[in-house]
Amino acid sequence: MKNKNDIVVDDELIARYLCGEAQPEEAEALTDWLEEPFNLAHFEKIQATWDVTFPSKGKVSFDKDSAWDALQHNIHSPSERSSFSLWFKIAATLIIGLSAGFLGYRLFQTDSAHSQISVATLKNTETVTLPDNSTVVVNRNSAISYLEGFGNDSREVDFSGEGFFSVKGDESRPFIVHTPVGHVRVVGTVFNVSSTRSGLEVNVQEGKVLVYTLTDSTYLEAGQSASLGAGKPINIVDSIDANQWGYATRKFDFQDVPLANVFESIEKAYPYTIEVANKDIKNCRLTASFDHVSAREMLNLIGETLDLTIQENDSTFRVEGKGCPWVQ
Amino acid sequence: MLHADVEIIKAIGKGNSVVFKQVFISHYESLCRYAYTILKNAEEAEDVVQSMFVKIWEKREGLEVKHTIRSYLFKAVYHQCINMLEHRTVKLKHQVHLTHELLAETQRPETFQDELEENIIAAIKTLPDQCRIIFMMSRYDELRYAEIASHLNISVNTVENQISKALKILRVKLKDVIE
Repeated sequence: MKNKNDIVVDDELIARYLCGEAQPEEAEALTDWLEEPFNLAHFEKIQATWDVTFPSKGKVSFDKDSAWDALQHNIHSPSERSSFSLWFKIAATLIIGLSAGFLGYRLFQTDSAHSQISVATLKNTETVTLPDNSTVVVNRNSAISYLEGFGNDSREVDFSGEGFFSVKGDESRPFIVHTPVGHVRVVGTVFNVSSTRSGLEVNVQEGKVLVYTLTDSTYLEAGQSASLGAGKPINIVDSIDANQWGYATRKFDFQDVPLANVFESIEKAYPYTIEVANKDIKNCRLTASFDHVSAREMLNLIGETLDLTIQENDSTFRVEGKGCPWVQ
Repeated sequence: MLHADVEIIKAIGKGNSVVFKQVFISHYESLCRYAYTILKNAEEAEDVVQSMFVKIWEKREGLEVKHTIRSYLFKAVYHQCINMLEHRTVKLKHQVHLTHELLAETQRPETFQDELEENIIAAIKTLPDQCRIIFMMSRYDELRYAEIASHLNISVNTVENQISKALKILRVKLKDVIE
C-alpha cells in the first residue's frame, strides 16, 4: 500500500523502525500500513523476533485512557512549583469572595457552559461543598480544583496538599481525586488525602477506595493507609492514626501517647506552634479524648493532667514543667 | 491539508477539549510506540508524548499545522526524542568483543535470566560474525546506526542491511520460541 509520500513499507523499514531509526514520515507510513490486519500480522512476527532477543525488556503497552486522565491533571493543575504563584496572580484580578486565608475564584473559562472552580487555602482550614454535596475539609496550604457542576460521567477534582473527603454515594458517577503522584477513585466513602509533588498518602476511614497511578493500583479499605512515591509501587499499611485528620474531624483520641506525638497532632490540626521548655516534657504520656475542643482548651487540660504550665503568646504555646523520664 | 484537519485545528484553537481528546485518543498509542523505539524506555516515551500534548493545548490558540495533524504529531515526537537522546548522560557502553565467547560471558546478566533462553543465545551465535556484532551493538548496546557505522568504519547502509539480515535469520531459527 503506497501513501502520499510513496514510502514503501518493507522489512528493511520495519527493522529500521524497531531499531529506532525510522524518520517520522516512515513511522507514519508504517502506522497507516499496520491498519491492514495482514500487514499487522507480518509486522508482529518480526517484532516478536526483536522482542524475544531481549526477554528481560518485556512487552510494552500504553493505556490511552489513564494517559488521558493524567493529561487532564497536567493541564488543569500547573506544576506545583508555579501553582501558588499562578493563583496569587490571578486572585489579584479575579477574586470572588474573600475572607482571611480563603481564596475562591474562577479559572479556565472553557467554551462549554461550565467553568473550572478552584479554591486555595493559606493559613486556615476550609470546608468546601462540592456540586454533588460531597464535602472536603481542605487543610492549610492546600488547593482543590473542579469543573462547575461536575460532569455527567464522573465527579473529578484536582488536589494538592491535605484534605478530608466525605463523598456521597453515586454509582453512576465515580468520584476521582487527581494528584501529582496518583489518583483515588471512589463511589461514596470517607477518606483523607495528603498530596505533595512527589508523594501521596491516602487513609480510608469508611468504605473502599481505589488508589492508582500509571503503573500500579490497589484497593484500600476502612482502616488502611497507602503511601506512594513517584515511580515506586504502592505501599499499604493496616493501621491508621485517626488523629492525623483531627484538622477535619476535630476529634482526637490519645491512648498512652507520648506528648511529642500529641503536640505533633495538635500542630497539624491547628495553626499554632508548640514549644517545650524542657525536653523531658515530650516523654510524658497522655490518655485523653477530645471532641470539638479548641487547641487552648486541649493544652490547658493536658497541663492540668500532667502538671505542666501553658503560656500562650500570639500563635505559639509554651509548655513548661518537670516533664517525665524517658521510658521505652 | 485535509479539510477535516482544518476543522479540528480550528476547534482545538477555540478550546474544544472534546475534539482535543479525540485527537489524543486516536494517536496516543502509535506515537508512544514510535517514541519507545527511539528512546527504548516506556516511561520516557509516555512523558514525551504527554508533554507534547500539554504544550499543544497550552499553545492552542496559535497552533499551526502545515500538512496533516498526524504528520505534525509524528515530527514533533521525533524531534523531542532526538533532543532527549542528545541530552542523555552517556552510558558506559560495553566494549564489543569480536569473539564467539561473547554471549557465554555474564557481560549482560540482566538480559537473559533464564537457562531456557539458551536457545536464543545459541541462535544469535549462529549469525555471521559482522552481522552478529552489528545486531548486538544495536540491540544490547542500543547504539544508533550512525554510531555503529563509525565504530566499525562501515557505511550506515551496511548496518541497515546486516540488521535486516539478522532479523530474518533469527525469525526462522526462533520460530518455535516465537510461536
